[in-house]
Amino acid sequence: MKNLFRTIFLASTIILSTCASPPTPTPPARTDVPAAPQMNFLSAGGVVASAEVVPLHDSEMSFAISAPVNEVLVNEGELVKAGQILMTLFAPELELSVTSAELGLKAAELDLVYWMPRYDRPPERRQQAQAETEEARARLKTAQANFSQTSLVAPFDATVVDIQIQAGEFAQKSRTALILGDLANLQIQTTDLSERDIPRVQLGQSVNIYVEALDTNVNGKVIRISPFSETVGGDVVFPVTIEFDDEPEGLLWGMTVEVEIQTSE
Amino acid sequence: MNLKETMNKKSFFLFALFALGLSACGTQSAATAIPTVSLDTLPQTSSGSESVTASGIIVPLQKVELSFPAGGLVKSVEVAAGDSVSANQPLVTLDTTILEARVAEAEANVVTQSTQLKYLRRTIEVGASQERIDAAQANIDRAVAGVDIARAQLAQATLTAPIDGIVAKVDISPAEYANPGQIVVVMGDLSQFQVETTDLSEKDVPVVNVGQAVSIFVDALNQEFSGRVTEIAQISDTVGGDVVYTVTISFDKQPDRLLWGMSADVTITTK
Repeated sequence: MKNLFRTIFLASTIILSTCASPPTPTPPARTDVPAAPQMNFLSAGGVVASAEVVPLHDSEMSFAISAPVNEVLVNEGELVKAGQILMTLFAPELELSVTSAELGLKAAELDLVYWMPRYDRPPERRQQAQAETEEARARLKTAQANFSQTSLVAPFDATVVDIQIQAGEFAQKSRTALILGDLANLQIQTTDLSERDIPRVQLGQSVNIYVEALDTNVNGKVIRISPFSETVGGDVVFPVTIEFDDEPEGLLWGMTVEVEIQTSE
Repeated sequence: MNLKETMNKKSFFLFALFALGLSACGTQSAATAIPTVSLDTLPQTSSGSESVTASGIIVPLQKVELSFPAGGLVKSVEVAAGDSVSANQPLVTLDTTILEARVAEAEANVVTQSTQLKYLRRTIEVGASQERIDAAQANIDRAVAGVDIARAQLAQATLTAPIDGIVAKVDISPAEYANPGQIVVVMGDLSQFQVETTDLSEKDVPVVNVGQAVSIFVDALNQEFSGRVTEIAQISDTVGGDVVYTVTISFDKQPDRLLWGMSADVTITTK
């Protein structure tokens, strides 16, 4: 009998443990932020939401051609200037076609030099030599433009956030090779501000911001309300962008913050 | 009670316990699966009643999802979500270095071919045949077509607004690669909204007709508005295994403060 009870007990624990696991992966998507104990928002009646720190500009850069990576010229965390070359591909065929186009232009130019003084020949022959030189020049430009696709160029001043491919690896066309973020200008974007709260939110409203990671409260204001909704776990939410009045130090891209938008003013 | 009997009882016990446990698990997983769509759960939506209810979303009367027909690296993004734009205004531009070089190349080719024709025309008296002239003309035509192609490809590298409206979403940044057909900008005329149903079942659609009165409850505004059925989709969509038809409903009077994507509950009076 004792044995039987033990078996039942064991069986029921197994059953209960299997039952317990299914509900956990589907936490109900909350529209309202549960008031975290460490939050110290004073006023009530505002709109509360969770949010994320994001850069003003960011870019998931990729190449327009597929080739092996020749060289990575920057490191993660490095500040880069607009126009700076960050990475190059190894594409000898594109480099050779530039050389070939250069030689083509040189040949056309020599041809032109030969035909220019030949007044004994029809004038069209000279014109043709001129036109062919122009064509060779244009062809060189195309080859150079094609070759320029082998370098990844920073579109704006930013920080190299993530390098996703290393020298020697094959860079697939259109696949992210490097992520840039303008970390000098960080903003906040809400992730769960419900459609029920959005009618009360207006541009310019001031916002209390609690940065969890830094355990500090700072102020900001609403600078953009997305005119287009997103769906998060079945809820319709509208991303709202908030600007810091004074950016706290130590802030990083992706940090979680809680915001309270002062809608009662 | 012999040993065999005990074993039997024991196994029956265990079996019952397992069954119980499994059924408990069963109901739980079923409960988590339901919230995705709640179709035809309400008794009044069944045919024979006087109204049909459904969930819907607020959408602009006119909306466009824009993409590039050919892929390329993005050079500049001129607009952000919320910006108001006019028709033909450039929104996103791809890097056009190669395309511009190709246009120049094609144009230079036309000049070369024209020179050839000019020469043949002038020397027609001294033996240039008509066939050679025709061939030279054909070469020019081909070169001109090459210019047209290069110019058209260059034009495709700029995404322009097809209508006046407001940019709702920009999904690309400079130096990112825009794949052909990838939606990079969503925009619409946000002065006029309508409602599209998301879960109106095939069982309910036969009684819905264009012109029927609808009461629209907008959750976000906590207000009810009146409207009318303006369109019934001719082809179905599938939502979570259910066959649904999108029914479009216009507002009798445009409410203020609506935003694209807000949810609404509609009740269509079918009699």
